[in-house]
Amino acid sequence: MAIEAGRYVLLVEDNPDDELLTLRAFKKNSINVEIRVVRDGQDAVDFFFSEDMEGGMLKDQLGLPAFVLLDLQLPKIDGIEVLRRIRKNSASKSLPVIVLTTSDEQRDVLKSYGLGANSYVRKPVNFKKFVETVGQLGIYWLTTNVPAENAS
Amino acid sequence: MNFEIDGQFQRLLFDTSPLGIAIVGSDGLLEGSNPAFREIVGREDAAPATLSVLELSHLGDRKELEAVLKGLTSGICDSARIAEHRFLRPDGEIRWGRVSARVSEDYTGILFLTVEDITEQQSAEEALRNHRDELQQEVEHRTKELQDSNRELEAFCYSVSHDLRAPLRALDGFAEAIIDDYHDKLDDSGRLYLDRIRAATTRMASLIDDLLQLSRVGRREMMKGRVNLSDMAGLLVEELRNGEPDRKVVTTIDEDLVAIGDRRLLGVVMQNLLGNAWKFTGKNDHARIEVGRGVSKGGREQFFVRDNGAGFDMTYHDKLFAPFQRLHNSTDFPGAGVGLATVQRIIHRHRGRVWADSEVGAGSTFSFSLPSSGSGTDGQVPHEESEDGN
Repeated sequence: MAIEAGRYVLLVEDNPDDELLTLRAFKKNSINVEIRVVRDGQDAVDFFFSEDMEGGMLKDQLGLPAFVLLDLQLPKIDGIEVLRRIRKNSASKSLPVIVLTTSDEQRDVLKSYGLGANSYVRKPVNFKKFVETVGQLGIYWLTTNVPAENAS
Repeated sequence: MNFEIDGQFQRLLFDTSPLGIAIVGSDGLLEGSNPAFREIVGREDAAPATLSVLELSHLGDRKELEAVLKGLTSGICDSARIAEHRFLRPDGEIRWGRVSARVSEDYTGILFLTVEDITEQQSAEEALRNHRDELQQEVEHRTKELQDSNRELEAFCYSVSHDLRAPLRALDGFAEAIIDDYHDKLDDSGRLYLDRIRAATTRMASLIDDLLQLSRVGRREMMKGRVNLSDMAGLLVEELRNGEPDRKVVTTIDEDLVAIGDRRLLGVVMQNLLGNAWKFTGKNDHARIEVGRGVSKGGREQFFVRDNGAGFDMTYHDKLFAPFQRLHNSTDFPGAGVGLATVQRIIHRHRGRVWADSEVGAGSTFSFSLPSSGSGTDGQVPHEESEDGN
């Protein structure tokens, strides 16, 4: 699969098993993209923003990821709050964020969309389905979708 | 004294009347009283010198009596009543009286007061009021407790949904990884064991999902409306056929089965009942499933899902609707045993009834009825679950 050089995916995931399985799922789909992992909500916020994130500046050395895979239940700062801060910052407000979580509670789904999640995906227990899901997500957001930064 | 009681009979009445009677001058002074009156006001003298009847009253009620007396003596009216009047006895006790006052027709400047002692009624009423307040407080307290425990339950379900599924994903994922990456190094039984791990993982995942559905049934807000069960059943049967296209099942669905209830919840009911009917007719070559309507003895409309499947022993019917109770072994008919518990929960939330009839080998009929007015309130469960339906 042709992926622009320097592009990467940010995985926000606190469960090491899920992290490993997600990486494996990318590999199974032959999606050769760099995947950076942060393991709690605070790290996710620090990853993007220097100092306090509300008015903070985006750290610019990396550039934005192609998309973010965001778990909701995270230590320190939960995924919903991470999403809120990403959307609040003008530099990252159009960044594709895919909520990838175990919960299919209605309030989580509604809150995520309400805060501008681009997609909400429930992690399937069945690994084959999980591989399929990650494959679809990866291909869609890395190749099909036109990101905001390319639109100008 | 310018008033006398005439005759023996009147004297007898006066002395023995359970009503307190007082003779009051136009100046308000007590000129005579019967024993019942003295008992009420706690005085011994029938006509103590220069005691105003007003002094017998509780300070808080004195003005009202004064106004009544004034009205009578000034000729504005002939009689008056005070429904509740407090007398304060010298011993500090308060007696409640219902007071009638009237102007004497024969003696100028004389008023009669009759007093009915209603203290007992008053204290009964007060006790009732207190009791009602206590009950009210108790209800508020319990409601709060219930809300707290509901919130806890919600948090619990949320964490079940999230935390119990995550390890299952790891189990399935890594078992799959072993099968995938180490395929050559495994013999047949090694692969079989891993498949079993994966199958068990899938079962547990669907069990968790069933439980979550059961818990959501109680939490979801109900939106009631007219629900066409015929259309709903048609779609569900189609789904079941698509899932197992090789099975031949004759289905009959009566037209225009309309219920009043929450569409999504009733969808879960029909899905479970039809899913069961489909499952338990699985070993029958001439499977039949029927969805229809009947009328109870009491004239209430009821809906049923009938099959000619495996059926169950009615001895165990009380276990049927309890969660995790299964009446068949899971090899013959897989399932978690949560479906009918969910059905019952939903029907109860609608204040309806659900029951089953069955015979081993002959099939089962599951019936339910819903209040036609749709006036059921959230969280209310009917007091009894009887089997008188058919």
